[in-house]
Amino acid sequence: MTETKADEPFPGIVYTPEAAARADRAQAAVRAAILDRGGVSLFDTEPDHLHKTLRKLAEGSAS
Amino acid sequence: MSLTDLSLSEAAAGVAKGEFTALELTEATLSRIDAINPKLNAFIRVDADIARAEAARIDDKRAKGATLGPLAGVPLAHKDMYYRAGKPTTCGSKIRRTFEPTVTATALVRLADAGAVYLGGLNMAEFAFGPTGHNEHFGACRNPWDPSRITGGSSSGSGSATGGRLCFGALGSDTGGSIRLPAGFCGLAGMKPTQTRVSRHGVMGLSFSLDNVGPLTRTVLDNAMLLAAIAGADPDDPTASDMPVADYAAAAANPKARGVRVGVARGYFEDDADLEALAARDAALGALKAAGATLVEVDVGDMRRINALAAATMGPEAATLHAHWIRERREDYGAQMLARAEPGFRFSAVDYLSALQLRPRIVAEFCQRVFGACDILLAPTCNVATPAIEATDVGAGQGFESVISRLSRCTRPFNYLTLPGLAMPTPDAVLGMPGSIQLIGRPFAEADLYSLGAAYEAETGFSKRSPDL
Repeated sequence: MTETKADEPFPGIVYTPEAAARADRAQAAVRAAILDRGGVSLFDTEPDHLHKTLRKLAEGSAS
Repeated sequence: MSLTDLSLSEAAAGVAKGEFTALELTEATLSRIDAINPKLNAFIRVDADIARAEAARIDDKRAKGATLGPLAGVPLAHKDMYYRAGKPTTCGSKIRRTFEPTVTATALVRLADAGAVYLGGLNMAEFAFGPTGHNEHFGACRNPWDPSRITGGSSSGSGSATGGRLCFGALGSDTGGSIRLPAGFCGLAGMKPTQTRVSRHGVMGLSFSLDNVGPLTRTVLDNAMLLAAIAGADPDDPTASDMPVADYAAAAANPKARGVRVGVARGYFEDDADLEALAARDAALGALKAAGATLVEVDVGDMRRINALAAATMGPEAATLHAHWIRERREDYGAQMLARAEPGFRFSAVDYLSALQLRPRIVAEFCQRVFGACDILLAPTCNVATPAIEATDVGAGQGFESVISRLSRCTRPFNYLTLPGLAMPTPDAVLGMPGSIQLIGRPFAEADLYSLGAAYEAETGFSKRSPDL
């Protein structure tokens, strides 16, 4: 007999089947969005990349 | 005409000129709250004694000839998630019903420094996690234009109280549309500033990467005055930007539409829309054209993907903040709040960090694509008519996700994109209720939005309309 294991994504957080289905749908959409960036490496990102980008965009010289 | 019918800027000018005292203005507002709040349920807590004491201090300063701030004597109220040291702040929740913070929010300190009077804490979605205005613990907030309809959320009380003339303006917060939606449904101007434009110190967090502090007001100038008071760097919040703060009030006082290229956002923003909402959007475009703007079609790209990345950012951040209480006090959460927080535990660290690390590139690409073709983008704030409270009282039941996503689909992407958005009413009603458009600008272009917004306000006269309560 196989024991069914609770869907517990984090200690003490147990999903109902409905919650698990919602979470799976959300994660699938996210992964599709990430993979849709096809072939873009995130290797050369920096911790303050967003702030630098906003500053450049505000000055109208984003690259 | 009652004092409470004045705009914020008119009220401030009246106190400054001595046409009425801050205390008279405050008493008129408190009387209006007594009369109207039972219909709207906009306030969680009215701090009348504090308001009277603050107003009296302003009058005393004026009598002594002291210099008054730009908001001197103007009664404001705020979403009940702005901390005041030693005073209750509920965050719209059962869990924090008796919480007394030890710090005061920088935004409140700055408003007080500008002379504003604090009236109390406003109703909101539980922990700012809901776009309708329902709240299982404090009751649904009601729309001043029709109390059977939703206010929008999560800054529900901010929309209802300001629209209902129970205060002259209010702070809300916006993580996925929570300022712009209640502004839209309640017939107001609402600004979600650029991410990091306003300090979040002393403000309840929901998703640190997406949370924004901003004002809801009746006029564009009022809105600019409030943002001017709170924007800028803050030593207590190192994430607050040190970019220079433009003179927003001057921008709002100088309407400009002529020569401005306004981009029309279609595609995603028109999908599943009510035709009446799109007709109202078209009337807004017509008003901008009549004011001298040039309309251009723009390709906004794939907003569905951006929406998904916003979920990957918000989900783990909100889940992290609430994990302890979800384990220990699960029964104290409303059903919908819980159902919306839970998916955040599923995302992996790589999902979350990919969404964050992709963000600068996506923001840059979006800005190049859109703001290469126009100066300011226009989209509906919400592309459906204001629903009834009863029809959207779905809790965590069947179909609740579609109710939520339908309301916030037009606002949420711009939180991930960091961009400032100014919501304003459409010239025409949508099935008898206010409609709304949002103007979207480049990072830190709030002054441009106020300038164009003021031209739009002059053309449409939207701020002259008021609900009959």
